[in-house]
Amino acid sequence: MIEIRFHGMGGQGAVMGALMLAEAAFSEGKYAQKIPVYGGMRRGGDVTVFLRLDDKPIRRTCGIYEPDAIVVLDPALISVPAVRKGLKKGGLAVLNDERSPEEVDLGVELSKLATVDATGISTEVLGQRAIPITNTTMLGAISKATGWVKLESLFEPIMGMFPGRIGELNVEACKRGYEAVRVREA
Amino acid sequence: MEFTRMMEGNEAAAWGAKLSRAEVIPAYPITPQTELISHIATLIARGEMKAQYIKVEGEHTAMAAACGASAAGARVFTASASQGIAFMEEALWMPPGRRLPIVMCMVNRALAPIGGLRPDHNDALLQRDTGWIQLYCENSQEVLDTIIMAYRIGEDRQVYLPVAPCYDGYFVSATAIPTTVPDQGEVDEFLPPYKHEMYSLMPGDYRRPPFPLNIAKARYEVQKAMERAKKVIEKVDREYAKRFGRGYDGLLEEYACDGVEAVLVTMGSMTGTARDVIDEMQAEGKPIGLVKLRGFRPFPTEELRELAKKYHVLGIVDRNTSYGSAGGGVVAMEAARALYPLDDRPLLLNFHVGLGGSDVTMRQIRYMADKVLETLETGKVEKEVEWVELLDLGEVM
Repeated sequence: MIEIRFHGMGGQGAVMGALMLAEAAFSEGKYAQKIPVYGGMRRGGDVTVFLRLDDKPIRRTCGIYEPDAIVVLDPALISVPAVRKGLKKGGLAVLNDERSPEEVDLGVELSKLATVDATGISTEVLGQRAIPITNTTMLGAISKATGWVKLESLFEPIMGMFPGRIGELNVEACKRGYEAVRVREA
Repeated sequence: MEFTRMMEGNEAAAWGAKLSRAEVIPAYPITPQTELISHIATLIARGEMKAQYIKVEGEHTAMAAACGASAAGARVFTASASQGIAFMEEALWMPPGRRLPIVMCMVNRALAPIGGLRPDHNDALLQRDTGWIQLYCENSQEVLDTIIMAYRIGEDRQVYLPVAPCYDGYFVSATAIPTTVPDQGEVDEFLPPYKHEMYSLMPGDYRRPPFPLNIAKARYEVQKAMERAKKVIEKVDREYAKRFGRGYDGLLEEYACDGVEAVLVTMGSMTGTARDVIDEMQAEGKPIGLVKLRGFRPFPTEELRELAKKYHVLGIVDRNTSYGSAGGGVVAMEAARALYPLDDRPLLLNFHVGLGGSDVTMRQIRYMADKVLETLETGKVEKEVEWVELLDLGEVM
Protein backbone atom coordinates (compact mmCIF):
# COMPACT_ATOMS: atom_id res chain seq x y z
CA MET A 1 0.00 0.00 0.00
CA ILE A 2 1.20 3.51 -0.82
CA GLU A 3 -0.04 6.20 1.55
CA ILE A 4 -0.01 9.72 0.10
CA ARG A 5 -0.91 13.03 1.69
CA PHE A 6 -2.06 15.98 -0.43
CA HIS A 7 -1.75 19.53 0.88
CA GLY A 8 -3.34 22.53 -0.75
CA MET A 9 -5.43 25.63 -0.24
CA GLY A 10 -9.20 25.50 -0.66
CA GLY A 11 -9.96 26.17 -4.34
CA GLN A 12 -6.75 24.66 -5.76
CA GLY A 13 -8.40 21.31 -6.25
CA ALA A 14 -6.55 19.07 -3.79
CA VAL A 15 -9.68 17.00 -3.14
CA MET A 16 -10.59 16.70 -6.81
CA GLY A 17 -6.95 16.09 -7.76
CA ALA A 18 -6.67 13.19 -5.33
CA LEU A 19 -9.97 11.80 -6.60
CA MET A 20 -8.88 12.00 -10.24
CA LEU A 21 -5.62 10.24 -9.36
CA ALA A 22 -7.64 7.56 -7.51
CA GLU A 23 -9.89 7.12 -10.56
CA ALA A 24 -6.88 6.81 -12.86
CA ALA A 25 -5.36 4.15 -10.58
CA PHE A 26 -8.70 2.32 -10.38
CA SER A 27 -8.96 2.33 -14.19
CA GLU A 28 -5.56 0.59 -14.27
CA GLY A 29 -6.92 -2.18 -12.02
CA LYS A 30 -5.63 -0.90 -8.71
CA TYR A 31 -7.65 -0.20 -5.57
CA ALA A 32 -7.76 3.36 -4.30
CA GLN A 33 -9.23 5.35 -1.44
CA LYS A 34 -9.55 9.12 -1.00
CA ILE A 35 -10.36 10.74 2.36
CA PRO A 36 -10.59 14.54 2.49
CA VAL A 37 -10.03 16.44 5.70
CA TYR A 38 -11.22 20.01 5.89
CA GLY A 39 -13.33 22.17 8.10
CA GLY A 40 -16.18 23.93 6.38
CA MET A 41 -15.91 23.82 2.60
CA ARG A 42 -14.44 27.16 1.66
CA ARG A 43 -11.85 28.72 -0.59
CA GLY A 44 -8.56 29.80 0.92
CA GLY A 45 -8.51 27.49 3.95
CA ASP A 46 -5.89 24.76 4.16
CA VAL A 47 -6.95 21.38 2.86
CA THR A 48 -5.45 17.96 3.53
CA VAL A 49 -6.43 14.87 1.58
CA PHE A 50 -5.36 11.29 2.22
CA LEU A 51 -4.92 8.98 -0.75
CA ARG A 52 -4.15 5.27 -0.58
CA LEU A 53 -3.26 3.01 -3.52
CA ASP A 54 -3.00 -0.76 -3.27
CA ASP A 55 -3.36 -4.04 -5.16
CA LYS A 56 -6.11 -5.22 -2.79
CA PRO A 57 -9.20 -3.57 -1.27
CA ILE A 58 -8.36 -0.80 1.21
CA ARG A 59 -10.13 -1.16 4.55
CA ARG A 60 -8.51 1.25 7.02
CA THR A 61 -10.29 4.61 7.23
CA CYS A 62 -7.89 6.47 9.51
CA GLY A 63 -5.79 9.48 8.56
CA ILE A 64 -2.23 9.23 7.23
CA TYR A 65 0.34 10.46 9.75
CA GLU A 66 3.48 8.85 8.35
CA PRO A 67 3.03 9.17 4.58
CA ASP A 68 5.14 7.40 1.97
CA ALA A 69 4.70 10.53 -0.14
CA ILE A 70 3.46 14.10 0.03
CA VAL A 71 2.04 16.24 -2.76
CA VAL A 72 2.01 20.01 -2.18
CA LEU A 73 -0.21 22.12 -4.43
CA ASP A 74 0.84 25.54 -3.14
CA PRO A 75 4.45 26.84 -2.83
CA ALA A 76 3.56 28.72 0.35
CA LEU A 77 2.80 25.45 2.13
CA ILE A 78 6.19 23.80 1.49
CA SER A 79 7.81 25.48 4.48
CA VAL A 80 4.88 24.71 6.81
CA PRO A 81 6.07 22.11 9.36
CA ALA A 82 2.71 20.28 9.40
CA VAL A 83 3.08 19.56 5.69
CA ARG A 84 6.34 17.60 5.97
CA LYS A 85 5.45 16.11 9.35
CA GLY A 86 5.83 12.35 9.55
CA LEU A 87 7.09 12.02 5.96
CA LYS A 88 8.92 8.70 5.85
CA LYS A 89 12.66 8.44 5.31
CA GLY A 90 13.07 7.06 1.81
CA GLY A 91 9.71 8.49 0.83
CA LEU A 92 9.01 10.96 -1.91
CA ALA A 93 7.62 14.44 -2.46
CA VAL A 94 6.09 16.21 -5.45
CA LEU A 95 6.00 19.96 -4.94
CA ASN A 96 4.56 22.96 -6.72
CA ASP A 97 7.79 24.91 -6.63
CA GLU A 98 9.69 27.11 -9.14
CA ARG A 99 13.02 26.00 -7.72
CA SER A 100 14.96 23.02 -9.02
CA PRO A 101 14.75 19.97 -6.74
CA GLU A 102 18.44 20.40 -5.83
CA GLU A 103 17.55 23.70 -4.13
CA VAL A 104 14.89 22.14 -1.90
CA ASP A 105 15.56 20.45 1.44
CA LEU A 106 12.63 19.00 3.38
CA GLY A 107 14.87 17.88 6.24
CA VAL A 108 14.39 14.20 5.55
CA GLU A 109 16.20 11.81 3.21
CA LEU A 110 13.93 11.04 0.31
CA SER A 111 14.17 8.53 -2.52
CA LYS A 112 12.78 11.13 -4.89
CA LEU A 113 12.01 14.82 -4.78
CA ALA A 114 10.19 16.41 -7.69
CA THR A 115 9.38 20.05 -8.40
CA VAL A 116 7.24 21.69 -11.04
CA ASP A 117 6.09 25.31 -11.43
CA ALA A 118 2.43 24.33 -11.38
CA THR A 119 1.32 27.86 -10.53
CA GLY A 120 3.08 29.21 -13.64
CA ILE A 121 1.80 26.44 -15.95
CA SER A 122 -1.79 26.53 -14.70
CA THR A 123 -1.86 30.34 -14.96
CA GLU A 124 -0.60 30.13 -18.54
CA VAL A 125 -3.03 27.40 -19.57
CA LEU A 126 -6.10 28.09 -17.42
CA GLY A 127 -5.73 31.83 -16.93
CA GLN A 128 -4.97 34.18 -14.06
CA ARG A 129 -6.86 33.46 -10.83
CA ALA A 130 -6.73 34.66 -7.22
CA ILE A 131 -6.19 31.04 -6.22
CA PRO A 132 -4.51 29.16 -9.11
CA ILE A 133 -6.02 25.74 -9.80
CA THR A 134 -2.89 23.63 -9.76
CA ASN A 135 -4.28 20.12 -9.35
CA THR A 136 -4.28 18.91 -12.96
CA THR A 137 -0.75 20.23 -13.61
CA MET A 138 0.41 18.42 -10.46
CA LEU A 139 -1.25 15.19 -11.65
CA GLY A 140 0.89 15.20 -14.77
CA ALA A 141 3.98 15.84 -12.67
CA ILE A 142 3.03 13.02 -10.30
CA SER A 143 2.58 10.59 -13.17
CA LYS A 144 6.08 11.28 -14.54
CA ALA A 145 7.84 11.50 -11.19
CA THR A 146 6.29 8.48 -9.49
CA GLY A 147 4.91 6.13 -12.14
CA TRP A 148 1.85 5.45 -9.94
CA VAL A 149 -0.37 5.94 -12.98
CA LYS A 150 0.18 6.39 -16.69
CA LEU A 151 -0.27 9.90 -18.09
CA GLU A 152 -3.05 8.72 -20.45
CA SER A 153 -5.01 7.21 -17.55
CA LEU A 154 -5.49 10.72 -16.14
CA PHE A 155 -7.27 12.13 -19.19
CA GLU A 156 -10.60 10.36 -18.74
CA PRO A 157 -10.96 11.30 -15.06
CA ILE A 158 -10.12 14.92 -15.97
CA MET A 159 -12.62 15.03 -18.84
CA GLY A 160 -15.20 13.34 -16.59
CA MET A 161 -14.74 16.03 -13.97
CA PHE A 162 -14.69 18.96 -16.43
CA PRO A 163 -16.49 18.09 -19.68
CA GLY A 164 -15.79 20.13 -22.82
CA ARG A 165 -13.32 22.98 -23.35
CA ILE A 166 -12.37 23.33 -19.66
CA GLY A 167 -11.53 19.64 -19.57
CA GLU A 168 -9.35 19.96 -22.66
CA LEU A 169 -7.43 22.85 -21.09
CA ASN A 170 -6.92 20.81 -17.93
CA VAL A 171 -5.63 17.85 -19.96
CA GLU A 172 -3.21 20.33 -21.58
CA ALA A 173 -2.09 21.52 -18.12
CA CYS A 174 -1.64 17.90 -17.09
CA LYS A 175 0.58 17.17 -20.10
CA ARG A 176 2.61 20.34 -19.44
CA GLY A 177 3.12 19.25 -15.84
CA TYR A 178 4.32 15.85 -17.06
CA GLU A 179 6.85 17.45 -19.38
CA ALA A 180 8.07 20.14 -17.02
CA VAL A 181 8.61 18.20 -13.79
CA ARG A 182 12.19 17.89 -12.56
CA VAL A 183 13.18 14.94 -10.40
CA ARG A 184 16.08 14.48 -8.02
CA GLU A 185 16.73 10.88 -7.07
CA ALA A 186 18.67 9.78 -4.00
CA MET B 1 -26.37 -2.54 -15.80
CA GLU B 2 -24.16 -3.08 -12.79
CA PHE B 3 -21.06 -0.91 -12.72
CA THR B 4 -18.20 -0.11 -10.34
CA ARG B 5 -16.40 3.17 -9.90
CA MET B 6 -14.79 5.40 -7.28
CA MET B 7 -17.62 6.74 -5.16
CA GLU B 8 -18.03 8.66 -1.93
CA GLY B 9 -20.41 7.42 0.77
CA ASN B 10 -22.87 10.24 0.13
CA GLU B 11 -23.11 9.48 -3.57
CA ALA B 12 -23.47 5.77 -2.80
CA ALA B 13 -26.38 6.66 -0.49
CA ALA B 14 -28.04 8.67 -3.27
CA TRP B 15 -27.72 5.63 -5.55
CA GLY B 16 -29.25 3.50 -2.80
CA ALA B 17 -32.28 5.81 -2.63
CA LYS B 18 -32.59 5.95 -6.42
CA LEU B 19 -32.34 2.16 -6.89
CA SER B 20 -34.91 1.70 -4.11
CA ARG B 21 -37.24 3.95 -6.12
CA ALA B 22 -37.85 6.33 -3.22
CA GLU B 23 -40.74 8.56 -4.26
CA VAL B 24 -40.64 11.48 -1.84
CA ILE B 25 -37.50 13.13 -0.44
CA PRO B 26 -38.11 15.91 2.09
CA ALA B 27 -34.68 17.09 3.21
CA TYR B 28 -32.70 19.96 4.66
CA PRO B 29 -28.93 20.21 4.08
CA ILE B 30 -26.33 19.91 6.83
CA THR B 31 -22.63 18.99 6.72
CA PRO B 32 -21.65 16.15 6.22
CA GLN B 33 -24.97 15.03 4.68
CA THR B 34 -25.23 17.88 2.13
CA GLU B 35 -23.70 16.05 -0.88
CA LEU B 36 -26.14 13.18 -0.40
CA ILE B 37 -29.26 15.27 -0.89
CA SER B 38 -27.49 17.39 -3.47
CA HIS B 39 -26.82 14.23 -5.54
CA ILE B 40 -30.50 13.24 -5.20
CA ALA B 41 -31.67 16.71 -6.22
CA THR B 42 -29.39 16.50 -9.28
CA LEU B 43 -30.72 13.05 -10.24
CA ILE B 44 -34.30 14.33 -10.00
CA ALA B 45 -33.52 17.54 -11.93
CA ARG B 46 -31.93 15.50 -14.73
CA GLY B 47 -35.00 13.27 -14.87
CA GLU B 48 -32.94 10.22 -13.88
CA MET B 49 -34.91 9.68 -10.67
CA LYS B 50 -38.69 9.90 -10.45
CA ALA B 51 -39.35 11.45 -7.08
CA GLN B 52 -40.79 14.51 -5.43
CA TYR B 53 -38.08 16.54 -3.72
CA ILE B 54 -39.57 18.72 -0.98
CA LYS B 55 -37.48 21.72 0.05
CA VAL B 56 -38.20 22.44 3.70
CA GLU B 57 -37.13 25.14 6.13
CA GLY B 58 -35.58 22.77 8.65
CA GLU B 59 -35.10 19.19 9.79
CA HIS B 60 -38.19 19.13 11.97
CA THR B 61 -40.34 19.89 8.94
CA ALA B 62 -38.40 17.37 6.87
CA MET B 63 -39.50 14.60 9.22
CA ALA B 64 -43.06 15.94 9.47
CA ALA B 65 -43.31 15.94 5.66
CA ALA B 66 -41.76 12.46 5.58
CA CYS B 67 -44.45 11.20 7.99
CA GLY B 68 -47.23 12.70 5.88
CA ALA B 69 -45.88 11.28 2.64
CA SER B 70 -45.31 7.85 4.16
CA ALA B 71 -48.79 7.79 5.73
CA ALA B 72 -50.21 8.67 2.30
CA GLY B 73 -48.51 5.57 0.91
CA ALA B 74 -45.27 6.84 -0.65
CA ARG B 75 -41.81 5.32 -0.24
CA VAL B 76 -39.89 8.04 1.58
CA PHE B 77 -36.17 8.76 1.93
CA THR B 78 -34.42 11.50 3.87
CA ALA B 79 -31.16 12.13 5.69
CA SER B 80 -29.68 14.34 8.35
CA ALA B 81 -26.75 14.69 10.74
CA SER B 82 -25.72 15.95 14.14
CA GLN B 83 -27.64 19.07 15.27
CA GLY B 84 -30.07 18.43 12.43
CA ILE B 85 -31.07 15.08 13.91
CA ALA B 86 -31.31 16.67 17.35
CA PHE B 87 -33.55 19.39 15.97
CA MET B 88 -35.67 16.75 14.23
CA GLU B 89 -36.04 14.65 17.35
CA GLU B 90 -39.53 15.75 18.34
CA ALA B 91 -40.84 14.46 15.02
CA LEU B 92 -38.72 11.30 15.05
CA TRP B 93 -41.03 9.68 17.62
CA MET B 94 -43.94 9.67 15.18
CA PRO B 95 -42.94 7.11 12.50
CA PRO B 96 -42.33 4.09 14.79
CA GLY B 97 -45.62 4.50 16.67
CA ARG B 98 -47.49 5.23 13.45
CA ARG B 99 -45.68 2.32 11.82
CA LEU B 100 -44.25 4.33 8.92
CA PRO B 101 -41.34 2.54 7.20
CA ILE B 102 -39.38 5.68 6.29
CA VAL B 103 -35.65 5.29 5.59
CA MET B 104 -33.39 8.06 6.85
CA CYS B 105 -29.61 8.09 6.68
CA MET B 106 -27.97 9.42 9.80
CA VAL B 107 -24.60 10.74 8.61
CA ASN B 108 -22.84 10.72 11.96
CA ARG B 109 -21.28 13.95 13.14
CA ALA B 110 -20.39 15.14 16.63
CA LEU B 111 -22.84 17.39 18.46
CA ALA B 112 -22.20 20.82 19.99
CA PRO B 113 -20.24 22.52 21.39
CA ILE B 114 -17.07 23.24 19.35
CA GLY B 115 -17.96 23.21 15.69
CA GLY B 116 -16.55 19.79 14.95
CA LEU B 117 -17.80 18.58 11.58
CA ARG B 118 -16.38 15.10 11.92
CA PRO B 119 -18.07 12.00 13.28
CA ASP B 120 -18.97 10.46 16.55
CA HIS B 121 -22.09 8.39 17.18
CA ASN B 122 -23.86 10.45 19.82
CA ASP B 123 -26.20 12.05 17.26
CA ALA B 124 -27.74 8.72 16.24
CA LEU B 125 -27.46 7.05 19.64
CA LEU B 126 -29.35 9.98 21.12
CA GLN B 127 -32.34 8.57 19.17
CA ARG B 128 -31.97 5.02 20.41
CA ASP B 129 -35.25 5.06 22.36
CA THR B 130 -37.44 6.40 19.55
CA GLY B 131 -38.14 3.04 17.87
CA TRP B 132 -36.02 3.53 14.73
CA ILE B 133 -33.99 0.55 13.58
CA GLN B 134 -30.30 1.59 13.43
CA LEU B 135 -27.74 -0.15 11.22
CA TYR B 136 -24.13 1.15 11.26
CA CYS B 137 -22.18 0.95 7.99
CA GLU B 138 -18.45 0.66 7.48
CA ASN B 139 -17.97 2.06 3.95
CA SER B 140 -19.66 3.36 0.79
CA GLN B 141 -20.56 -0.09 -0.48
CA GLU B 142 -22.25 -1.07 2.74
CA VAL B 143 -24.18 2.22 2.77
CA LEU B 144 -25.61 1.60 -0.71
CA ASP B 145 -26.46 -2.03 0.03
CA THR B 146 -27.93 -1.23 3.45
CA ILE B 147 -30.34 1.41 2.10
CA ILE B 148 -31.83 -1.12 -0.33
CA MET B 149 -32.07 -3.69 2.46
CA ALA B 150 -33.53 -1.07 4.82
CA TYR B 151 -36.70 -0.76 2.73
CA ARG B 152 -37.13 -4.53 2.64
CA ILE B 153 -36.68 -4.68 6.43
CA GLY B 154 -38.83 -1.68 7.32
CA GLU B 155 -41.67 -2.61 4.96
CA ASP B 156 -41.76 -6.26 6.04
CA ARG B 157 -45.17 -7.07 7.58
CA GLN B 158 -43.35 -8.47 10.61
CA VAL B 159 -41.65 -5.13 11.18
CA TYR B 160 -43.26 -1.95 9.77
CA LEU B 161 -40.77 0.38 11.39
CA PRO B 162 -38.55 3.22 10.13
CA VAL B 163 -34.91 2.35 9.48
CA ALA B 164 -31.80 4.51 9.86
CA PRO B 165 -28.67 3.39 8.00
CA CYS B 166 -25.94 5.26 9.94
CA TYR B 167 -22.49 6.10 8.58
CA ASP B 168 -19.60 8.26 9.70
CA GLY B 169 -19.23 11.73 8.23
CA TYR B 170 -15.99 12.25 6.24
CA PHE B 171 -14.54 8.77 6.86
CA VAL B 172 -17.47 7.30 4.93
CA SER B 173 -19.54 10.24 3.62
CA ALA B 174 -16.68 11.95 1.76
CA THR B 175 -14.36 8.96 1.37
CA ALA B 176 -14.25 7.47 -2.09
CA ILE B 177 -13.59 3.78 -2.68
CA PRO B 178 -14.49 1.54 -5.63
CA THR B 179 -18.23 0.96 -5.16
CA THR B 180 -20.49 -1.35 -7.11
CA VAL B 181 -23.91 -0.06 -8.16
CA PRO B 182 -26.23 -3.00 -8.82
CA ASP B 183 -28.55 -3.34 -11.79
CA GLN B 184 -31.95 -1.62 -11.39
CA GLY B 185 -33.83 -4.69 -12.63
CA GLU B 186 -32.14 -6.87 -10.03
CA VAL B 187 -32.99 -4.37 -7.28
CA ASP B 188 -36.61 -4.23 -8.48
CA GLU B 189 -36.83 -8.01 -8.14
CA PHE B 190 -35.31 -7.87 -4.67
CA LEU B 191 -37.40 -4.91 -3.50
CA PRO B 192 -41.00 -4.91 -4.75
CA PRO B 193 -43.01 -1.65 -4.73
CA TYR B 194 -44.21 -0.44 -1.33
CA LYS B 195 -47.71 -1.62 -0.45
CA HIS B 196 -49.19 0.61 2.14
CA GLU B 197 -50.86 -1.46 4.86
CA MET B 198 -50.35 0.59 7.97
CA TYR B 199 -53.92 0.63 9.22
CA SER B 200 -54.37 -3.11 9.02
CA LEU B 201 -51.47 -3.53 11.43
CA MET B 202 -52.71 -1.12 14.07
CA PRO B 203 -54.66 -2.04 17.17
CA GLY B 204 -58.01 -0.31 16.80
CA ASP B 205 -58.55 2.56 14.42
CA TYR B 206 -55.37 4.56 14.24
CA ARG B 207 -56.83 7.46 12.41
CA ARG B 208 -58.44 8.64 15.62
CA PRO B 209 -56.54 9.34 18.83
CA PRO B 210 -56.34 6.02 20.66
CA PHE B 211 -57.66 5.42 24.18
CA PRO B 212 -55.00 5.37 26.89
CA LEU B 213 -55.18 1.58 27.08
CA ASN B 214 -54.33 1.33 23.40
CA ILE B 215 -51.26 3.52 23.78
CA ALA B 216 -49.54 0.94 25.96
CA LYS B 217 -50.66 -1.77 23.54
CA ALA B 218 -49.33 0.19 20.55
CA ARG B 219 -45.99 0.72 22.28
CA TYR B 220 -45.76 -2.95 23.13
CA GLU B 221 -46.43 -3.68 19.46
CA VAL B 222 -43.44 -1.50 18.50
CA GLN B 223 -41.29 -3.43 20.97
CA LYS B 224 -42.47 -6.76 19.52
CA ALA B 225 -41.86 -5.49 15.98
CA MET B 226 -38.32 -4.49 17.00
CA GLU B 227 -37.74 -8.01 18.37
CA ARG B 228 -39.09 -9.61 15.19
CA ALA B 229 -36.90 -7.28 13.13
CA LYS B 230 -33.78 -9.22 14.21
CA LYS B 231 -34.76 -12.28 12.21
CA VAL B 232 -35.94 -10.12 9.31
CA ILE B 233 -32.62 -8.22 9.18
CA GLU B 234 -30.75 -11.54 9.03
CA LYS B 235 -33.08 -13.01 6.42
CA VAL B 236 -32.93 -9.92 4.18
CA ASP B 237 -29.13 -9.84 4.51
CA ARG B 238 -28.86 -13.50 3.45
CA GLU B 239 -31.14 -12.93 0.47
CA TYR B 240 -29.20 -9.82 -0.53
CA ALA B 241 -25.92 -11.74 -0.32
CA LYS B 242 -27.33 -14.54 -2.44
CA ARG B 243 -28.52 -12.16 -5.16
CA PHE B 244 -25.80 -9.50 -5.16
CA GLY B 245 -22.82 -11.39 -3.73
CA ARG B 246 -22.35 -9.04 -0.78
CA GLY B 247 -23.60 -9.78 2.75
CA TYR B 248 -22.90 -8.27 6.14
CA ASP B 249 -23.83 -11.08 8.57
CA GLY B 250 -27.01 -9.39 9.84
CA LEU B 251 -26.65 -7.71 13.22
CA LEU B 252 -23.00 -8.46 13.91
CA GLU B 253 -19.98 -9.87 12.13
CA GLU B 254 -17.16 -11.88 13.67
CA TYR B 255 -13.89 -11.16 11.87
CA ALA B 256 -10.77 -13.32 12.22
CA CYS B 257 -12.15 -14.92 15.37
CA ASP B 258 -10.97 -18.51 14.82
CA GLY B 259 -9.44 -19.82 18.01
CA VAL B 260 -9.33 -16.49 19.84
CA GLU B 261 -10.56 -15.97 23.38
CA ALA B 262 -10.77 -12.18 23.34
CA VAL B 263 -12.22 -9.64 20.93
CA LEU B 264 -12.54 -5.93 20.27
CA VAL B 265 -16.08 -4.77 19.47
CA THR B 266 -16.33 -1.83 17.04
CA MET B 267 -19.05 0.08 15.20
CA GLY B 268 -18.89 2.19 12.03
CA SER B 269 -15.90 3.19 9.91
CA MET B 270 -13.28 2.41 12.57
CA THR B 271 -14.01 -1.27 11.88
CA GLY B 272 -12.06 -1.09 8.62
CA THR B 273 -9.00 0.23 10.45
CA ALA B 274 -9.46 -2.42 13.15
CA ARG B 275 -9.44 -5.19 10.53
CA ASP B 276 -5.94 -4.13 9.42
CA VAL B 277 -4.69 -3.92 13.03
CA ILE B 278 -6.16 -7.33 13.97
CA ASP B 279 -4.51 -8.91 10.91
CA GLU B 280 -1.15 -7.36 11.85
CA MET B 281 -1.46 -8.58 15.43
CA GLN B 282 -2.46 -12.11 14.43
CA ALA B 283 0.54 -12.21 12.10
CA GLU B 284 2.61 -11.44 15.20
CA GLY B 285 0.96 -14.39 16.97
CA LYS B 286 -1.35 -12.30 19.16
CA PRO B 287 -4.69 -14.12 19.41
CA ILE B 288 -7.29 -11.36 19.24
CA GLY B 289 -10.39 -11.14 17.05
CA LEU B 290 -12.84 -8.47 16.01
CA VAL B 291 -16.60 -8.15 16.30
CA LYS B 292 -18.32 -5.53 14.19
CA LEU B 293 -21.58 -4.37 15.67
CA ARG B 294 -23.84 -3.52 12.75
CA GLY B 295 -27.24 -3.46 14.36
CA PHE B 296 -27.58 -1.30 17.42
CA ARG B 297 -31.41 -1.21 17.27
CA PRO B 298 -32.59 -3.88 17.62
CA PHE B 299 -29.68 -4.72 19.94
CA PRO B 300 -28.22 -8.18 19.25
CA THR B 301 -28.68 -9.46 22.82
CA GLU B 302 -28.86 -13.17 22.00
CA GLU B 303 -25.94 -12.94 19.57
CA LEU B 304 -23.81 -11.23 22.23
CA ARG B 305 -24.71 -13.98 24.72
CA GLU B 306 -23.51 -16.52 22.16
CA LEU B 307 -20.21 -14.64 21.85
CA ALA B 308 -19.88 -14.73 25.63
CA LYS B 309 -19.63 -18.53 25.45
CA LYS B 310 -16.52 -18.26 23.27
CA TYR B 311 -14.73 -15.11 24.36
CA HIS B 312 -13.54 -14.38 27.91
CA VAL B 313 -12.84 -10.68 27.36
CA LEU B 314 -14.80 -8.16 25.29
CA GLY B 315 -13.23 -4.74 24.65
CA ILE B 316 -16.07 -2.48 23.61
CA VAL B 317 -15.09 0.61 21.67
CA ASP B 318 -17.55 3.48 22.09
CA ARG B 319 -17.36 6.44 19.71
CA ASN B 320 -19.82 8.23 22.01
CA THR B 321 -20.22 9.01 25.65
CA SER B 322 -23.03 9.38 28.14
CA TYR B 323 -22.00 11.88 30.78
CA GLY B 324 -22.52 10.57 34.32
CA SER B 325 -23.71 7.18 33.12
CA ALA B 326 -23.54 3.92 35.09
CA GLY B 327 -20.22 3.41 33.37
CA GLY B 328 -18.84 4.36 30.01
CA GLY B 329 -20.40 4.55 26.58
CA VAL B 330 -23.84 3.63 25.31
CA VAL B 331 -22.77 0.42 23.54
CA ALA B 332 -20.91 -0.88 26.60
CA MET B 333 -23.90 -0.24 28.83
CA GLU B 334 -26.23 -2.09 26.47
CA ALA B 335 -23.76 -4.96 26.28
CA ALA B 336 -23.49 -5.10 30.08
CA ARG B 337 -27.27 -5.42 30.35
CA ALA B 338 -27.33 -8.12 27.69
CA LEU B 339 -24.63 -10.13 29.46
CA TYR B 340 -25.69 -9.59 33.08
CA PRO B 341 -28.10 -12.57 33.37
CA LEU B 342 -25.39 -15.04 32.31
CA ASP B 343 -23.82 -17.27 34.97
CA ASP B 344 -20.48 -17.18 33.23
CA ARG B 345 -19.96 -13.58 32.15
CA PRO B 346 -16.98 -12.41 30.12
CA LEU B 347 -14.83 -9.55 31.41
CA LEU B 348 -15.84 -6.21 29.92
CA LEU B 349 -13.48 -3.37 29.03
CA ASN B 350 -14.79 -0.10 27.63
CA PHE B 351 -12.84 2.42 25.59
CA HIS B 352 -13.81 5.91 24.53
CA VAL B 353 -12.22 6.95 21.29
CA GLY B 354 -12.97 9.21 18.31
CA LEU B 355 -15.07 11.57 20.42
CA GLY B 356 -15.98 14.90 18.90
CA GLY B 357 -14.90 13.56 15.54
CA SER B 358 -11.23 12.96 16.12
CA ASP B 359 -9.59 10.24 14.08
CA VAL B 360 -9.44 6.65 15.39
CA THR B 361 -5.86 5.66 14.60
CA MET B 362 -4.15 2.29 14.10
CA ARG B 363 -2.05 2.92 17.20
CA GLN B 364 -5.12 3.57 19.33
CA ILE B 365 -6.74 0.37 18.14
CA ARG B 366 -3.57 -1.57 18.84
CA TYR B 367 -3.43 -0.06 22.35
CA MET B 368 -7.00 -1.20 23.04
CA ALA B 369 -6.39 -4.66 21.60
CA ASP B 370 -3.27 -5.03 23.76
CA LYS B 371 -5.29 -4.07 26.86
CA VAL B 372 -7.86 -6.74 25.99
CA LEU B 373 -5.12 -9.37 25.69
CA GLU B 374 -3.51 -8.23 28.96
CA THR B 375 -6.87 -8.63 30.67
CA LEU B 376 -7.24 -12.11 29.22
CA GLU B 377 -3.88 -13.01 30.74
CA THR B 378 -4.37 -11.51 34.20
CA GLY B 379 -8.11 -12.23 34.47
CA LYS B 380 -8.55 -8.82 36.08
CA VAL B 381 -10.13 -5.65 34.75
CA GLU B 382 -7.68 -2.88 35.60
CA LYS B 383 -9.81 -0.02 34.27
CA GLU B 384 -13.49 -0.37 33.43
CA VAL B 385 -13.57 2.72 31.20
CA GLU B 386 -10.60 4.30 29.49
CA TRP B 387 -10.49 7.52 27.44
CA VAL B 388 -7.89 6.49 24.90
CA GLU B 389 -7.56 9.94 23.34
CA LEU B 390 -6.21 11.36 26.58
CA LEU B 391 -3.21 9.02 26.40
CA ASP B 392 0.03 9.93 24.69
CA LEU B 393 0.68 7.00 22.38
CA GLY B 394 3.65 8.71 20.75
CA GLU B 395 1.70 9.29 17.58
CA VAL B 396 2.77 11.81 14.93
CA MET B 397 -0.45 13.83 14.59
